[in-house]
Amino acid sequence: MELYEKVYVSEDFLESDHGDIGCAECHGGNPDAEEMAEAHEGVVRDPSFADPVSACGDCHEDEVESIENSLHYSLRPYWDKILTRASTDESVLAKIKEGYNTHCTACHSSCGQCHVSRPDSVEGGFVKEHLFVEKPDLVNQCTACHGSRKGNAFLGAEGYEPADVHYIEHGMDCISCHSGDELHAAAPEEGDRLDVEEQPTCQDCHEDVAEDGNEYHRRHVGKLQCQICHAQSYINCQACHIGKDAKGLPYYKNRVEWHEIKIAKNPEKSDRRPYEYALVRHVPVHPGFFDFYVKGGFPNFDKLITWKYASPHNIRKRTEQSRSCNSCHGNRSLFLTEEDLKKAPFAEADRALVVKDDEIPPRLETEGVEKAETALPELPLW
Amino acid sequence: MKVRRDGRWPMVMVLAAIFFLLSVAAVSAQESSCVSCHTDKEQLKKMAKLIPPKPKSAEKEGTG
Repeated sequence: MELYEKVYVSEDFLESDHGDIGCAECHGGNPDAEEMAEAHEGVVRDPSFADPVSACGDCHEDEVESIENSLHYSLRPYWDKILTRASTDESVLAKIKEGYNTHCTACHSSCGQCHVSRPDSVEGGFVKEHLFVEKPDLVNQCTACHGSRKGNAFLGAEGYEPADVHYIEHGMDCISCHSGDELHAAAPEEGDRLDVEEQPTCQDCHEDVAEDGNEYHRRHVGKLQCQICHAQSYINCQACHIGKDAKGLPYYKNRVEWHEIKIAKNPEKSDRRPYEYALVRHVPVHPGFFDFYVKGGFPNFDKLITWKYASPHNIRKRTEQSRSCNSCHGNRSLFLTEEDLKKAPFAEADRALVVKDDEIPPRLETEGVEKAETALPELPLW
Repeated sequence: MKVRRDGRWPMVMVLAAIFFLLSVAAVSAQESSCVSCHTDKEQLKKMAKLIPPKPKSAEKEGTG
């Protein structure tokens, strides 16, 4: 996006409801000035981040009610996780906070960064010439942030696996499943994004799958997370390194990534996720994550898992796992083992997720099992 | 309601009208100075050339 496009305002916007509001009323600045620098003195680029209630609350009272505590705005569970692992020494915590504020909080969002412009973390810019959009745009807004993992998988843009069936065959976008109620909801008092009650589940649309006559469903629904059979391989990250370069500019590096599927003991068992087994992915945390700011800042690193519950967004009806019973049964390579833990920095808490050899479902030798094998259709990559 | 007949009431009306006109003028001025620039693509292109690119670290590996 060219710089001028980022701030170009269309006549259509001026004729819209929001266009009736004077520019300075939301953005401040000095509208009497003739020079650009003077005119922009005190300008608030995104008033909805600075003060969402004042900026949007007069008209959108319900939506702003929980926005300051929402995941997108506050990122609060991130800091909670850091605190669980971090030293309680206040001087150490202050240095971790400095790193957190420099690198992590850049990924927030706001009313405006979902409904008017691209998010700050991708350097902003009006999506529709300052027109407000009710539904965030899949490419410019949602996957501008959630791109390297969710977006690329959903669109099939990584080149590893075909796009998600919901997108490529049914034209669905993020908002088709992730409603405004979910996205505006306050982060739960305890827990994280997986504990937001408004989150969608597969069964919201695929009701009664256990009684649909499918033998695989009859045997596995409720015990296995749906994605175990219906997701394709997904990205895992080894370890993210953050710091500042010689010019003092912040950076991050995630040197090693790999694609695979790993079935583990469900780390997020709850009423909403009662499955015995679920997919997990390695997230790029490690004990030296904040070493640039303070060494040894995480004496309690082992308390939380590094192989986290995964819900890959590259769903297909037919996958390698759903070819036949023995695609999974007896297939040790699909399960999270002790050897897998060594692929990346791990925590003691991860050991509870490991599927031991005697827990891997044995290969089925029953007559007719192999006949159930189905061919995978040729699928277009995006 | 009592109507004031001491001669001050018309003066209040005149002052209110002046205040209203000034407010309208101020709002118009605000809109015109911001809008005239931000709706002019050619003007924005010229100004964009004057703004230095935001410095970013060259150190980056992986897709993140």
